[in-house]
Amino acid sequence: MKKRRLHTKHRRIPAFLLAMIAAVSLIGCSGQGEAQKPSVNPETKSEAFTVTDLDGQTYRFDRPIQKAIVAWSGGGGPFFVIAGLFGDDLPDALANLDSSLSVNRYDMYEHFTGEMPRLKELADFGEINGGTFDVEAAIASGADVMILPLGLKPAAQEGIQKQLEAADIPVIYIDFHAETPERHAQSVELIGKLYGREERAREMIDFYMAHVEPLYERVEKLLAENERPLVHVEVGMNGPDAPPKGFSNTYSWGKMIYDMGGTCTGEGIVNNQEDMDPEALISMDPDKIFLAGAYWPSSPDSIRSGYLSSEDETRGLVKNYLTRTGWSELSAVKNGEVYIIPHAIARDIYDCASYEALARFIWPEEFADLDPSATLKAFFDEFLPFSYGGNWYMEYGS
Amino acid sequence: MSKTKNPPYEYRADCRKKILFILSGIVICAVSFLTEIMLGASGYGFSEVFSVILHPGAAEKAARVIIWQIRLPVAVMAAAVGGTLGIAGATMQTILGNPLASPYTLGLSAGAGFGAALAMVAGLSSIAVISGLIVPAMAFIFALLACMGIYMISKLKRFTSEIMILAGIGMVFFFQAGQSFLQYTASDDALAGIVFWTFGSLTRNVSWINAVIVMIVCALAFLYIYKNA
Repeated sequence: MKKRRLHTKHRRIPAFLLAMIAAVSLIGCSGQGEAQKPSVNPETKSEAFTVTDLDGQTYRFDRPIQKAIVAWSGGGGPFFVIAGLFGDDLPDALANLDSSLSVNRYDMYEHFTGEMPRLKELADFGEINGGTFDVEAAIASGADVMILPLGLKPAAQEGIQKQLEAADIPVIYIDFHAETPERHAQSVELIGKLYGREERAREMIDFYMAHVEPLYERVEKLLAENERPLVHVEVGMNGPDAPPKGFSNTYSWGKMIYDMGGTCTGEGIVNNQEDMDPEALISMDPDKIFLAGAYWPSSPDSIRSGYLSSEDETRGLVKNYLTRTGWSELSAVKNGEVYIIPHAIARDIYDCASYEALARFIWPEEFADLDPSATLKAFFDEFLPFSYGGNWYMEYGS
Repeated sequence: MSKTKNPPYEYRADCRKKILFILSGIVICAVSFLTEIMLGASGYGFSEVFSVILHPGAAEKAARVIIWQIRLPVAVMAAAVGGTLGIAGATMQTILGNPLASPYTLGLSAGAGFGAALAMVAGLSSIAVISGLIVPAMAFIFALLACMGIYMISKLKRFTSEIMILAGIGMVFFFQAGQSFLQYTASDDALAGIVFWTFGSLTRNVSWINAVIVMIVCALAFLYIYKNA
């Protein structure tokens, strides 16, 4: 059969190439946008008060804000600080409630909305880093500002920040993910100043510092005379059949553990938090194993901690993890150095309780005086409009 | 002098059908365009929307931003993107004599997707100054590489339509495999970015500048191809 040939010296090939280029040109305009420096119109704000956010940008407001758009309410966002500032009036101070609380902290969401049903009435504008954020709904909500964790800055700058700022809604950055007492305090102070509730914010900061600062001093003294214990910390979200994930010493639980005198199995091997080779983990033979739990209904084998967990149930789920190939021979398992920590209680204003837990679990004798559960309960009782309950920190034992 | 004959009845009927089809398309596009600018979470009514469009200076700032900076650029971009894809697809189908030819089946979209994914996974979008340009630029470059790949392979076989289509299909598999590997290695954020990029979402950061660029390219491509059709 004779093949149909194209006339390359005529105009079909240029037309074909032009069609391809036209199609390709769409690509240049469907991607990410220009990163913009935050700019609130200074002329529209008086000198009433000024704040500098954790991104180093300064904003002026002529009065305290009434309502803010929030993100990462499950941890790292401003939700818990605003809850501490407003108590039972919390819903009045929020323009939205993102799904990170209901999805990632299901037990907390159920407990909180049970005690404060108005939270359920708050709109969910979608996820900024998931690309589903409804900026139109955010603008129409009448919010004064958007308060975001610094980690969301790249996603926000892809587009929504510019649109919000065009509608006179500045995007203010906080930073609990740095996991330093200074950045925590600055974030709380910033939120307190925005809402005009600096005194209450100061009380939260004082509570936090009173619990965390002595730990740093005591750990420093311990490290002068002792080696750092090797800790394997893993978020038990995907069940024991998933490969073990490790943390570096500079990220999330890894940094918290390092600050409390331990060193993590993932240090020098993984970036932040990644899968580890199970063989490598066994050969490292960690001194301690920390499993971070929460309540992830879609993963029934995950480690459970928090409101909807009991000690017996968590113990059974941890036991499954310890049946991983080779784990029964690990020193940490043989010596009963397996601990449960709540994944929710990190990178937020109440993680002082988790610092205490890590210090106590890493140095059991030296920090026997600490009671992290009591610290967490005290924070709830003193600052949050929700009751304390459930099972958060646990020593699995042998 | 020869007498001009009337076209046969079948041809005229076919033309009428095509004109009707094109008019229907225009009506559907117009309705879609209006629907896009009418609907949104803020709940503005028909008269409010058109009031803001006609008198933006008199509108509240929030309404002006929502209509002029969020809804209208997306609607214009959607129309321009659809038009450009239509021109590209029609031209490719005509030249290759194959109704299946399109930027998707010939691997251009796969090449672009791979380039964009590479930029996101490599973290190039965090580079200052070029952060907003690097992803589309990489997508553009890799789509052109896909074009070049088709061209080079086709050249070896004297540009038969079958070879061009097969080369395009080869490009699809080649770049999709690369993109799958990148997705496997991507962080959660990069993965979300890749997924939305390949969906072709218009809700992420569409601006007037982007929309106007696509409109200009669409218009130039249409004029050139129409002139040389």
